[in-house]
Amino acid sequence: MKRPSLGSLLCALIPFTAICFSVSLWDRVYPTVFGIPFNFFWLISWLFLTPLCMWAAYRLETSQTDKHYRGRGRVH
Amino acid sequence: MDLEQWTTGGRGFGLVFVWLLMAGEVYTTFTFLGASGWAYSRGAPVLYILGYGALANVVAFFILPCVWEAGRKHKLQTQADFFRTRYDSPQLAALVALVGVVCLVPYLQIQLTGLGLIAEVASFGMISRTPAIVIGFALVAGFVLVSGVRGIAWVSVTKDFLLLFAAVFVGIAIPRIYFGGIGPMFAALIQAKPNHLVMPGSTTNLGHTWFLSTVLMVSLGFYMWPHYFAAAFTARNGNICAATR
Repeated sequence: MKRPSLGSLLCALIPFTAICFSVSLWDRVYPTVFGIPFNFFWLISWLFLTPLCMWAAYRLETSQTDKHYRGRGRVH
Repeated sequence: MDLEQWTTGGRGFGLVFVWLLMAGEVYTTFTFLGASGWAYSRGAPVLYILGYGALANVVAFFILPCVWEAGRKHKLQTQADFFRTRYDSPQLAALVALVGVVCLVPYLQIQLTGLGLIAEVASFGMISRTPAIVIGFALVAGFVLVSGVRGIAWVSVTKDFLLLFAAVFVGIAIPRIYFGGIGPMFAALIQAKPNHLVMPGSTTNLGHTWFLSTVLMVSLGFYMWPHYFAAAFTARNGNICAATR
């Protein structure tokens, strides 16, 4: 089992900050977006933005594995 | 079918199938009854579901590939198996199994009560709660016994699409019929009960501190559920566990 890279941990920290730690900043009704209260809209947006962050983390992790294998010459 | 096929589907599930299985396992009666009940009675605190739903999978991105890898290496089938080999402790494995079972009992009881309520309401009282629970439980236990995780995964696929359809249909139809759209519905809500839509909503104690601590706890602990944890063993490779997050 390999340790996750710092980059992918940072990618994971983005949704944690946006959804969890910053709650008092976004928990408000106004401005409404498409008639939806701001806090609802904010969390729904992050349902779509979180996978984007994790996609970036996935890219970082898999590119590292490739390098790791290349370093060993991929003889196997 | 041997036991390994039954619990892990031969570790041969592909990306889409694992994703649909995991999604289906997360949807419970809470999705419809509990969540809507919370939204109605408590208001904005219900948003914690949207929060942990996303963050639990961020955590799983880091955990499940390791779980999968250990599973393949040591031919693990359950969560307790993992703790036995990882920490080389049968006592810890026994404790994990015990905690898992003890926690699943109230969880199942809630699910079955919900099932009974839904059957009773949906049949306009023609099927009362107890027979609905008994029949439902017998059916589920029977098909799981026969089919193993492969059957559960196919039920998950069906459930995913039915739930998505129902949620989208109800979410669009009800606001349209009663308020003329989602925007006007929120406008009416804001006018009638403005405090309902920000935390602590219609409660006194479910404020921001509660939200932060609850979302953090639930998202970190989400994949401690034995059935979510063991679902990782069904994947064909570890990247699938990471990619489906």
